[in-house]
Amino acid sequence: MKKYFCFFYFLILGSLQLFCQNQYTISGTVYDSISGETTIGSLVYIKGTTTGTATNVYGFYSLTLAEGKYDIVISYLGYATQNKTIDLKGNITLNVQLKPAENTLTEVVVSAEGNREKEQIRSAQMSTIYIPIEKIKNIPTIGGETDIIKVMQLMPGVKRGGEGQNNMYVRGGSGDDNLILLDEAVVYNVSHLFGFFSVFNNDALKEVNMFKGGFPAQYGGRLSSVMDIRMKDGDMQKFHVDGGIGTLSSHLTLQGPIIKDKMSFLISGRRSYIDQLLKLIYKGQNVLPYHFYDTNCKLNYKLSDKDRFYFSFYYGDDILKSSSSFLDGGFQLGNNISTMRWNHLFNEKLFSNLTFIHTRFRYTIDAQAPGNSFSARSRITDLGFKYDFSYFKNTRSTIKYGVHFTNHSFRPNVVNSAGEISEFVKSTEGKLIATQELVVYANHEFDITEKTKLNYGLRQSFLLTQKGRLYFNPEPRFSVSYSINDKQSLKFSYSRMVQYLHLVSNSTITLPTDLWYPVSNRIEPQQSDQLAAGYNYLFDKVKTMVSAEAYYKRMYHLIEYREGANLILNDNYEDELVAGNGEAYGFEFFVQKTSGRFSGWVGYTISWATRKFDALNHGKRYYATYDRRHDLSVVGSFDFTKRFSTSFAWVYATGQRFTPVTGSYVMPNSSLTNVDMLLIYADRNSGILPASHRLDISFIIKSRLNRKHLKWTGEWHLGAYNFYNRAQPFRVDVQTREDGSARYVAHGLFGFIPFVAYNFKF
Amino acid sequence: MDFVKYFLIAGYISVLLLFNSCTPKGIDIDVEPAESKIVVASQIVPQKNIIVSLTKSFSPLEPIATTEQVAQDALNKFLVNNAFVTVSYNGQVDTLDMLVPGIYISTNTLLTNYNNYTLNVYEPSTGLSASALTTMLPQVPFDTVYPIITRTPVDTTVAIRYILTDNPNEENYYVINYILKQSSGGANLDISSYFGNGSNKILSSYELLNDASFTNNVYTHLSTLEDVTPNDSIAVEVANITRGYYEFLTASKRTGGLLTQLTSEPIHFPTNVVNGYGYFNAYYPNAKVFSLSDY
Repeated sequence: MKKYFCFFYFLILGSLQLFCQNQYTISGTVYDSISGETTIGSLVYIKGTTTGTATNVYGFYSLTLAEGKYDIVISYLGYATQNKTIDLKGNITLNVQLKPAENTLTEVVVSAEGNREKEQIRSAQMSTIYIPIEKIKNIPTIGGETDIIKVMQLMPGVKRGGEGQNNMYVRGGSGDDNLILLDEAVVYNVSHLFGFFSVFNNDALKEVNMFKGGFPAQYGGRLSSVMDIRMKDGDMQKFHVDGGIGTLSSHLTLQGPIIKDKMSFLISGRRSYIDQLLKLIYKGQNVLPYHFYDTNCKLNYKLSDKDRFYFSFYYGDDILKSSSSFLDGGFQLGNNISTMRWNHLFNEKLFSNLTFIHTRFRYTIDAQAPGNSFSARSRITDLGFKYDFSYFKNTRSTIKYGVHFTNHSFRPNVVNSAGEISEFVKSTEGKLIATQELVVYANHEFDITEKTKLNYGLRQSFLLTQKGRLYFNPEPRFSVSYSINDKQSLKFSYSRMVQYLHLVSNSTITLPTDLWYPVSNRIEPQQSDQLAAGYNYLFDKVKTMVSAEAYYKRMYHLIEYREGANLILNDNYEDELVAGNGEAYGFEFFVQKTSGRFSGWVGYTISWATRKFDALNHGKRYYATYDRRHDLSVVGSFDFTKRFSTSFAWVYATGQRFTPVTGSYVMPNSSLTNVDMLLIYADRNSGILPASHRLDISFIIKSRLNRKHLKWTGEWHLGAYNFYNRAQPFRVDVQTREDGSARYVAHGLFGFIPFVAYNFKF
Repeated sequence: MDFVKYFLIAGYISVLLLFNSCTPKGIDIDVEPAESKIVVASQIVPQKNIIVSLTKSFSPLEPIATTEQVAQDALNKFLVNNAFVTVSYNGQVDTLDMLVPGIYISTNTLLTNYNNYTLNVYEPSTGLSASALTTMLPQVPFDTVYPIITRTPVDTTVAIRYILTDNPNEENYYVINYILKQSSGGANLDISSYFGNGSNKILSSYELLNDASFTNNVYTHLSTLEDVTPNDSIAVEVANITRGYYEFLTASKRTGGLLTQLTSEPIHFPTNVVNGYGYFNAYYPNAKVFSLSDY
């Protein structure tokens, strides 16, 4: 307990610095002047100094200064900078409306971007990824479907899974070590079409931030990364429509005011239509009766200057429904997420957000054949709340604290089978498992000097298992930055993360039967300790940021599957799990240019990730599946003219690891009446697939139509995935040559895939 | 509108065709195949003979048997032929005779409970060798074992009920084998004809027990058998096996058939064979045979 008292002592001490002069506060919200959307991360600072702050995720800022006259600068990426002169003699509310770049002069916008990059240099926060949504839209992907997760996979430290998959392996972690939040709620299933497309409809998104290390204390619950995704609030000013028709799916978003400047809505939908097209082609036959869809809704109500209410909703499904004379059935899986949030400003320094969360993921599989029937159902449901506070003490000190509570309810593997199939798949009722998770946290962002910023905090998490075991884990967080000058800085961070859930999946492809399970009395929470150190340099003239980070991560109580485990519809999954430790370290290099006619980035990672489990690989340390030594991505976008631009992404990755079958033998059974064929595996993950590399390109042609009552903006996206048609090794099989000899051959899934998409806005 | 519809469909088909025609070629990959090793399986058969099955592991890159000659060559490569096989114990070395390629038997080895036996195999034609050590465990009997047959006009169900008592003073592991010879196979079940069941249709399954399976040192079990007809024969065996072989069988049972292995996590099967695979055992099953037509 002593160390906790010490921690809170310093926390309070840091926040109680007294200033001799009268102090007053400028506070308010920064908006987009066209849509009325709040802006996240806008900078509000005193001209010519580094004194300032940034708006939080709800667009709110608070700046406490000594009495006097100030030139305040408000800037945001892609928007014109605004200057305000303030004579500060009392607390002031200053709401600011920024004009988007396209309505103003480029030079001013560039200046604003420069300031954001300078803030990145100064900030204690490190290991973060931020890409503007507008930039994400132009990066080519499979089928031309904009996909934020696939874009994140192009970043250093983030490795993708198999070809086209939406899995992420961050800094040596596993695929289930990533916390993905949509308007504060956890998204358990982030994929459509067995992992090839993400569930996030880009039209409905406002901002995406990803943390790989140096985690702020308000985030936790996963070992390796946090992706915080925010939906658009809905246009407060006028009604408009965004949409797009793509190769695989189409999407449409409607938004507008219900009460101007007071209340707005957003409704967004997306559906794939390969099933409908094939139905047309094959005259009504259900050739591929599969589709997916997403629905995003948001309601945003400004109750008063101090209170704001948001309701966010997401519903999406993957549906396969087949009907024939010999087999009738299919599957359905998807998320249902809703959050209600209430922002309240207690005073100009104390901002709060109360969120009620419901999130559910479930799947159902049904099959009926003559004389047989089978159905399987599983679900996970979270109900909870978050109450977060931000106290903007002064320009040097901000304290964030809060409490989060979640009731996790799991109902896995409810199986009903009848007929001969019941001999192979037994009916099970499925166990109802409930766990309760409580988190309290406090975080202090503190400028020790003008050049040194400190960010430290403690997250205390508790989890009560179904059988009454209480886990409690302190999770200290710490990061510090030292600005050598306004162009370069050094950073260092330490984070402990604890994970109380794990995904049971023994496949390299996302299956509907993959399920989340909580820790239990026997399966302990996973834990990681990560150290990271970084250096940043800003080439101001060319607006290019260079960053280099090294990290070292230890992971404890990791979960793997016992040798020979078969987890598909296995109700006794706990018996199949074994625990061990892991280690990961690496170096990441990132050069990013976000403005000008040419923008893009180069990301390179060299990394190592190992595991050690007593029950696996004869107890010997082995490389993790996604221990890939080198990852390189080069992403660029070039505007030839205002109407015509191109973008490309070239990626190279060392092949992923696998456990090869190197032989087999026949073994008589124990009664010597029959034989079994047994496979011989090499050491775990000792095989390496060939390296993969590919080029994706797209060309964007913009068109405008200005009529009296209609301002139509259109964009054609033409491009190709895997432009030079190189196999991205994904699986290995044995092929026989004409002479009868055999060889191992690695195959990919997709070759050259062209796409065309048309996006519009009016 | 029809024009637009057909234009879209034609465009879509073109894209699909293009996609299909552009499936990239696979890339050759170097994976070192496991070297061929000797695979051992053994047990004690009636008349207290020790019988050893010796085969060889093979690589997935072995040529596929496309002709009869190639198939015969593959079989010859797979069976251990004319090997020098000995069992040594208490300073004595017995040489095993080859019954047929792959099957070796010793008719004169003195088998004593709790005695250690070392198997040595050397195949001159390939230079492969392997060795293994095991302990002979005493034969254990069922307390009682009998079939329960329920005949209805449409169906016959057969269950085996047995009771087994464990020796509480030692750590024990047991395998219970059910061997079903279906009447469509011809002759009566001959449990001593281990690899020579000819056209007999044999179905087998097994259960594994350890000390934790017993309640007050007694295990009572009723097992319903599938695919049984009233004229079939059933043998039920119990054998006291080593912990190592118990773990081998547990792993084998968990992974099931080859298909299950391919969908499961990779597994390294335990072995007591040095420089080889499989398990060298000296367990002596106690069998009861039931001809169901007698019940």
